[in-house]
Amino acid sequence: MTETLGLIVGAVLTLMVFSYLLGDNVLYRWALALLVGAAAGYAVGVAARYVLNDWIVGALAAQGAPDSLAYAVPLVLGALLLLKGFPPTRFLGRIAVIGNSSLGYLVGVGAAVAVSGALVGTLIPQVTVTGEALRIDEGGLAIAQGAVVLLGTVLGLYYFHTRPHTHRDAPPSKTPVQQKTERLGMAFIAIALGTAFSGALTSALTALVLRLWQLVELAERLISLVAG
Amino acid sequence: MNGDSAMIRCPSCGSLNKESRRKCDNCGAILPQTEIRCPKCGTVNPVGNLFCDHCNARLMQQEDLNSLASRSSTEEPNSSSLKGISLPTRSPTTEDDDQEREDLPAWLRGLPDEEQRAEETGVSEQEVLENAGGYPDWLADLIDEDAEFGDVDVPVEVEVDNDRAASLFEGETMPEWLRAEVPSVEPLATEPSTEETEPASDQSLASKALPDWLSSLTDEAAGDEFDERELPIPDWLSEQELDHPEAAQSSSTPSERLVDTARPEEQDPALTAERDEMEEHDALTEEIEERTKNGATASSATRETAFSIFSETDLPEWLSDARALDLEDAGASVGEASGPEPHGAAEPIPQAQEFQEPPSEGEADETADAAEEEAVTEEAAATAEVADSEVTNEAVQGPSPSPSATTAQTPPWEGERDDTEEAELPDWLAGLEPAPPGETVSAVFTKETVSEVSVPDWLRDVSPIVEEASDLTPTAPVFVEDADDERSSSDTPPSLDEPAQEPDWLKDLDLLADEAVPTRPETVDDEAPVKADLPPWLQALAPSGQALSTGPEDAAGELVPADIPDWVRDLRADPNEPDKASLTRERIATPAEPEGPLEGLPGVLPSLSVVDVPSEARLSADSELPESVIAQAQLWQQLLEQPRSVERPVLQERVRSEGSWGIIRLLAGVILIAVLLAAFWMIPSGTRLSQVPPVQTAVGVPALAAGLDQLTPGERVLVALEINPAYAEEMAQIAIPLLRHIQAQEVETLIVSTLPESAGLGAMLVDQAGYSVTVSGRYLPGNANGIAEFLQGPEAQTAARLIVLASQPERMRWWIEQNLLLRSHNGNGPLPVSVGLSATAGPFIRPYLEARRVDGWVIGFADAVAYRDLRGDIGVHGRVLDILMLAHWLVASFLVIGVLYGLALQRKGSR
Repeated sequence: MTETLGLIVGAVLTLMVFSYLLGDNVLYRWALALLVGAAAGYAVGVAARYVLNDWIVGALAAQGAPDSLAYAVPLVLGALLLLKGFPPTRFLGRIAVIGNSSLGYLVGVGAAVAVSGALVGTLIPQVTVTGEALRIDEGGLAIAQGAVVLLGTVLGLYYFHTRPHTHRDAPPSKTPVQQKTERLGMAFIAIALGTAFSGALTSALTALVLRLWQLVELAERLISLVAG
Repeated sequence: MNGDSAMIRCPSCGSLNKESRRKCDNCGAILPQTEIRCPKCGTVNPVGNLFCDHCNARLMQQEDLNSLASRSSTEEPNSSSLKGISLPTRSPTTEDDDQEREDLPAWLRGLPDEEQRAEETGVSEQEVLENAGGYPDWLADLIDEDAEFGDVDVPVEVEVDNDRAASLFEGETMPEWLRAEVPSVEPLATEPSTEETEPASDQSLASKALPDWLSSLTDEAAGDEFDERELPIPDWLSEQELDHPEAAQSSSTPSERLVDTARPEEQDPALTAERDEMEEHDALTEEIEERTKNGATASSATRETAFSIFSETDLPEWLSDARALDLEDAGASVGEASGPEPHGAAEPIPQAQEFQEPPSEGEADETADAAEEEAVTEEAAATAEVADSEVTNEAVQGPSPSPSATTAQTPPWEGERDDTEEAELPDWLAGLEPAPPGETVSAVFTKETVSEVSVPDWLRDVSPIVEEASDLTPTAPVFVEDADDERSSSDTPPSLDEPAQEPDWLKDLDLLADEAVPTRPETVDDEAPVKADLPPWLQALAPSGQALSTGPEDAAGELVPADIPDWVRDLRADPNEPDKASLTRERIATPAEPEGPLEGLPGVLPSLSVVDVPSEARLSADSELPESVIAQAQLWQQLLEQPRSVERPVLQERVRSEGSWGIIRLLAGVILIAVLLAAFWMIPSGTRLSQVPPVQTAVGVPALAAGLDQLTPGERVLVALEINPAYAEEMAQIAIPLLRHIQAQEVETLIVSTLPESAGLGAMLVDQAGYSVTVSGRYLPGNANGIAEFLQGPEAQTAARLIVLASQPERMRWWIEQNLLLRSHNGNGPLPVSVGLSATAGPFIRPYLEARRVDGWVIGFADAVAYRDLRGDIGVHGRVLDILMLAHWLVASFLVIGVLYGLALQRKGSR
């Protein structure tokens, strides 16, 4: 029964979202607001449960100064960060600058972690893979594939390295070879973006098909229920 | 100037040329010069100028001037055709009257002489003077105006002059002209006049008639004794006597005894030789004194002596003439005072009216200034163009030791001072008093010369020349075409550079101002050589071994005739030969006139010269502009020409209504949904549209399955759920088979997420996966920082595998990066990672997959179906996958239709 009710609610919401095919309407907006509100409410509940509750309970239960300090510092920084929410025109807004220390800590640490992780986990492996893509010992197809990967990487970087034209009637400041190289790099980038778009389209169609499949299942159940 | 005067007709071919051209444009012949270029500064002056408008240098040579004057006198004896001759000049070598007259300037030649006046009026000069009381008419007018002047006797004047001279020259060096004058009046001073005159009234008259500057001197000199015999004779005076003894002996007209001693050839620069000849000078002085003593009663000898003396003063000739008349009158007065001749009031004499109107006081100053400035700018000796004032002055003083010191002698006003004191001077003569220091300098001086010339203190006080001369350095004459001369002229005081101002009264004398004026000859004759100033480039062209006589000593010293080398002469352009510049111009043969009255006649019209034009300077009329630029220019032109009142077109894009697009969207959506629903119902279950097993197309699925198969019971598996609610349906199809596999391996599962909403989704997925054990979940706040902290915690350290299920590529990258970074530092090595991605994040994670940093992956619903197929749990998912494939085909069809429709619209719009 619960599953059937879930199917019915799900089917109704699906139809409300599909109503956007007729244009922006109240049903679509209701479905959209329900999705965003449910997600936000669930996020707040999760944060309160797994962040505030755990940290506050832990801080209260801390035994000794080191443990209390370990819980107190993040809480204080978090409390100062809340001051950034006051509008700057009011009195409390003047003390909002105190939260800049917490914000600076977050940005600084996050940048350090992201940069170091990107260098070790992304840039170096990608450069390595690009260099290893051209493998002669694995046959012609692998060589072609590796050459395409290497050429696409180099031309893509070359395109972003050069300055685009400011005006079509402006005198060309590049040699014809440079212009053709840029166009090749732009073609590789277009292919990559097209591939990314196809993945997004595939995800959308997957969701559509799965929703329709659920609607079909609901319909079959209703038919079976009606047919007995 | 009319229009014809602006053109010059070529004497060779007859073509007209512009006035500024020096050579004919047609034949290249040298045109008559219409402009005179200053040899000093290069300024182009009109032909009427004798002096440069810029630097005041003389533009004409003396020889040119002489020839011009002689020609003018030959053609028009009594007319002054020259303009702008500031001061008269005379040749030093002429002795006859004709030649002397030729040397005079035209405006002076225009003045009738005594004989001419006598012939014209029938009254001799002597009679005129006698009738006028010995004064010219312009002085007689002054006498008439002043009734008391007729009562003034010469003895009174002489007495005053004597007192003044005695006071001034006591113990001082007395110039010769004063020495010669004092004896002539001394008897009158010592002996009372037979005609009673009241001394008091005479004194008052004298002080009243004399100018202020003379009156002051008279007051200062009152009561002093004078003894000329004890005075030493200056060197310059002895030099004069030695060089020109005829000046004291001649009894002819004063003009005959005027000797131009300014010529350097006649000068003796050795001062020592002058002192050796002092005895002769003394003898001459004594002779003069005796003659003046004997003729104290206005004898003719006295008048001649006085005449000769005063004629040698530094005065122009016209002024000398007037002074001569004045002296005669003074002699007559003296004679009358002694007895015979009456001294009555002067009657106006018609003959005397032929004199020009006496200049005013200011004009007289200007005259003196011009004369002195001219003396500076001229050559001191070589050109013999010194003004009469200088000539007469030098005639008295004798040749100076050096050319520069020639004019460092007694100033002009010194010679007339006594004369001024003898009789009441008119205002214009009073204006000839010494100019203030710094205004005029008659010549260039040297310290040595000034120091050697014995000048009395009173002369130093009243003479600005002497004062300034002591500070001057030796300089060469200005009008010398030599670089050294210009360098020397730059050392002269600033006042010397001031252009000479021609007095107005002198301008009035220029009767024929605009008449034909001679031009400066183009070439330099051998007869009148000038000091050639060879530029360095010309000197470089000199043949080796041939010396160039352009030494500075020639310029600073006396001038010598220029000796231009032959090779320099050869460099000059030959006027008979066509100019080189004209040779560079090609001539086009003029064809015959095709029509008109000149038909068939070639060469009637002058041919045009071909001028070379650089090829780069050609106008690029055929240059092409881009079409876009032309279109923009046309658009701008249309907009500018269109009045503002007219509504201007605005480019508006035709926008389809929202309803039409909605219909299209609805139609496409309805078609898509309808087709998919129909597929679900029309395709029977168990029927596969795709004949290829999904696992064969999914590369990472076997690796993922193999990795999960290696898990042993009791190990901990970290499952990171980074799933947005929008991708929950798709990610659920991926996560459920994986969780079932993990559950089958009996491992501990820890679900964590950096997204709050993923925690609840994880719980739902665990339920759908059929977990029978408790699965702990955890929220990791702080994104990458939370991931890093979690991986460093004890729960991650003991985990056996990390399975990341992410719908977005960023969070997937965070997990992989932090795993590689932190786990490597701990020495444990990175956790084996298996991933399940949405179709959206798949393309972005491909590099990690190619880098083999991931042990198996599942991307999208298709890989999920393949994983199910691999696990033997495909179910109805195969049918859903077939419908998904159909949906792809349908959407692809829509895209193609939309592209074709867009192209069709674009082509339609372009038409």
